[in-house]
Amino acid sequence: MSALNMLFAGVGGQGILFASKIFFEAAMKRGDKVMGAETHGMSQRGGSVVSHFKMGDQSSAMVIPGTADVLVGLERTEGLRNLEFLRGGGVYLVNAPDLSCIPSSAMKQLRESDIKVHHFDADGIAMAKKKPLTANLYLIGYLCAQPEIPFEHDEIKEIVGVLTKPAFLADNLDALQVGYEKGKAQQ
Amino acid sequence: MSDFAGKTMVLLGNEAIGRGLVEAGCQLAMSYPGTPSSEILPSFVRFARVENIDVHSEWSANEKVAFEEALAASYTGKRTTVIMKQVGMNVAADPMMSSAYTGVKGGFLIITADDPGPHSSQTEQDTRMFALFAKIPVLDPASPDEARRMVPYAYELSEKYEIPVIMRPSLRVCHGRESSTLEEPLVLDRPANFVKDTHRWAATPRYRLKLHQQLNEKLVKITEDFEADTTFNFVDNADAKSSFAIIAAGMPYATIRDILKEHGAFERVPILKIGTAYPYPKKTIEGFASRYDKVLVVEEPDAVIELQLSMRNRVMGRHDGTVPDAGELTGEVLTDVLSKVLSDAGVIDKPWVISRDLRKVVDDLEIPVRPASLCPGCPHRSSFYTIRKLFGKKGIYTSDIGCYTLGLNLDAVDTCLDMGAAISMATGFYHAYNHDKGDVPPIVATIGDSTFFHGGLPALAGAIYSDARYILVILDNLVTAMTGMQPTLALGVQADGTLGTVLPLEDACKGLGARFVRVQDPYDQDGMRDVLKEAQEHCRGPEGRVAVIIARHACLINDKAAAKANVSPVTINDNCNGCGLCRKTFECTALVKGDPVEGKEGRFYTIIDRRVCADCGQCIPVCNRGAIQLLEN
Repeated sequence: MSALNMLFAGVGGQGILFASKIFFEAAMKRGDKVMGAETHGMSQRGGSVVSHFKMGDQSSAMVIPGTADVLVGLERTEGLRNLEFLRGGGVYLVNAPDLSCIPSSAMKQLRESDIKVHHFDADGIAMAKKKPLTANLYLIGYLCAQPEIPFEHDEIKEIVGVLTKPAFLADNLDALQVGYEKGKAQQ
Repeated sequence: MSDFAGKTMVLLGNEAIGRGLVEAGCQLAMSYPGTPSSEILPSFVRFARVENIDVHSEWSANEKVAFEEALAASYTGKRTTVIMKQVGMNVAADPMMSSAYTGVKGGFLIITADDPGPHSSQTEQDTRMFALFAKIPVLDPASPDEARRMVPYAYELSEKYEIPVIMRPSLRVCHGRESSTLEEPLVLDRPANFVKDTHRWAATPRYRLKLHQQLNEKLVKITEDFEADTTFNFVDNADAKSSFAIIAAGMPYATIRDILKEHGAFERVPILKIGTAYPYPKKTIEGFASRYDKVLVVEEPDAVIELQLSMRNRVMGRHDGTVPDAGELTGEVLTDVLSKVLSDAGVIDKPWVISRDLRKVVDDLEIPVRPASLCPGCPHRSSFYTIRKLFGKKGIYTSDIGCYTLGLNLDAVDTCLDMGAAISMATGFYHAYNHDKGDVPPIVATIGDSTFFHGGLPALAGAIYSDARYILVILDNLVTAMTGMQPTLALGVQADGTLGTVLPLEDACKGLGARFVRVQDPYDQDGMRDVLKEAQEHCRGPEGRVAVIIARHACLINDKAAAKANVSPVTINDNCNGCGLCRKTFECTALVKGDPVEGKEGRFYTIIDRRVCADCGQCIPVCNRGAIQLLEN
């Protein structure tokens, strides 16, 4: 059983819970022990949301700062705010057209900590297709293409198939596929 | 056979507890919603439904009512539960203290969710401390699945000794997720059978002494049970050669394990995990502690085990400053504590190297915190805006617990104490000013629909009776919004979705003697202003009493269609001069700073954040230059 800690950071309404649920189900299907948690502010809408995902022999539902293997910033500021969760050598994927959203001081430190930084304009693509709610699936597709993620694209695709309501299935699978191809191309 | 037994599912802690109630044969569940406990009752209802088990569930008027209802049902021999958040226990304290003496018949489980931090509560109070005060056994789960497994144990204990039992999951257990392998539900065939025993159920003080003595005898036996228990009290790494050890409970136990493993030090440290903080399992805890020179106690929010530990010279924890004496014991806080304590004790050669470089870089960026704010389109914002505009700085604004506490941001909330206090505190302010025989400033109390039924009813009775005069605005958004959209008594919808009896707010207020009771849609700001003026005149008139305005408009999150007044998007036109008045006085997250105004430092044009704007149009009258308009105009 491989241990994996991931963090999804963004704001309410971005489908963060759904994103982590996909990995919960994928890990469960393999028979791995999973834990996790969501943290959010007091407001019903528009507040910071972070979802913690932990797989392997662990006891606490929360990722400890400095121990996340992967951080996905579904929203760039929220991604930045949670950088401290990453461990040295980890992966940071930010939902942005380029890396200009990461201030130079942070970029310098990310490099020094040997963290691989990826950007992918999931919002841009999703908006262009008039399907803004699929941005999370583009990012997950991208993530699956990275060697640090111990889940295969097909595995995730199957789970997305089970979890998605029929009306959104085609859009979600398309987003996952496009994201995956983009992630492959960026390796 | 259940379709779910044997299945492994990832459950939210509160879902796991709901499942545990079904697996333990709970027949009646009463609750008042409160973060982080609110999902437990709906999960219980859902699991009972899919298992085809007939249960009674109820969102009660408040925690005291819920407690008394569930307790009486337990007197009939049924297994029952009452579910609340930790400050709800303050409300239920009166029956709780007494129930320890009377005891119970059917298993009676009190589930109280704590909120170390605090993240969404007035206090960081520790329910285990309350248990110690009330002399009621308390269980403290460290993970979602352990919480599920504790429920049947709690019921057996409760029935064995005819005593209420508390389980207190903390926020991270309630809102954590963990895989659980579900067990068979327990279906009890127990018809209600209340056996009269006035010396117990209606005991006078003379018999109360006897009941107290009996309670103490029960606690001695339960202590022995807890000392023999190895399911929830156990030792990790008992054979580790160490002069230092840890005693941990609840979520911090789980966190400590992960930290020690992360740093490769886990096997070197003996850890006693305690799931039963009271009655204090002395032999377990002190037998363990006596084997080591120093023992660190880690628990939250308060020092309950540490307080009971008699070997003071060995104990480190919250009291001697080794562990911070307030706030959540996060992974970060405990990493620092352990690094220092373990290196001091020689368990590790030197403190761990913990890089905080990324943290430091991000701190230096000073990313603004997203402040809590009423949602765009929230009808409460319109109420607060109109109230504040009419009565200004001179008004005294008492408010209450709910989303609408965020009326703070519109300068329309001056006090927030506890459930129902908006009304009683307005009464207090009125009498204090009226005592001077001079002018009484305008006083406006704001309270939510659910909070009004919870704690507002007796407060309004007291206000009318004592001839207090002020405006009471009941912010009626037709739901208990903040805790996740539970129905209120005014809707007459029960916890399982079936219909109960509708209790109209206006009838309740009239019934309590209010003469001025008006229903007003706060989206109609002119109408709201007019009715507020009338209400103030009523208060100051010869026949005046408390004037009640029911500001009724559906919560936008709960009822999107009803909340939307306009079909056309809201936009900003060229009249905007960047004064910022709309952003300051209307405080909506959809009104944001745009480009700077040339030649005027510190001024920014307002733009609409299309991603969050509800197009309610409520901000249109705010701009006196007419810069906010509907796109179609």
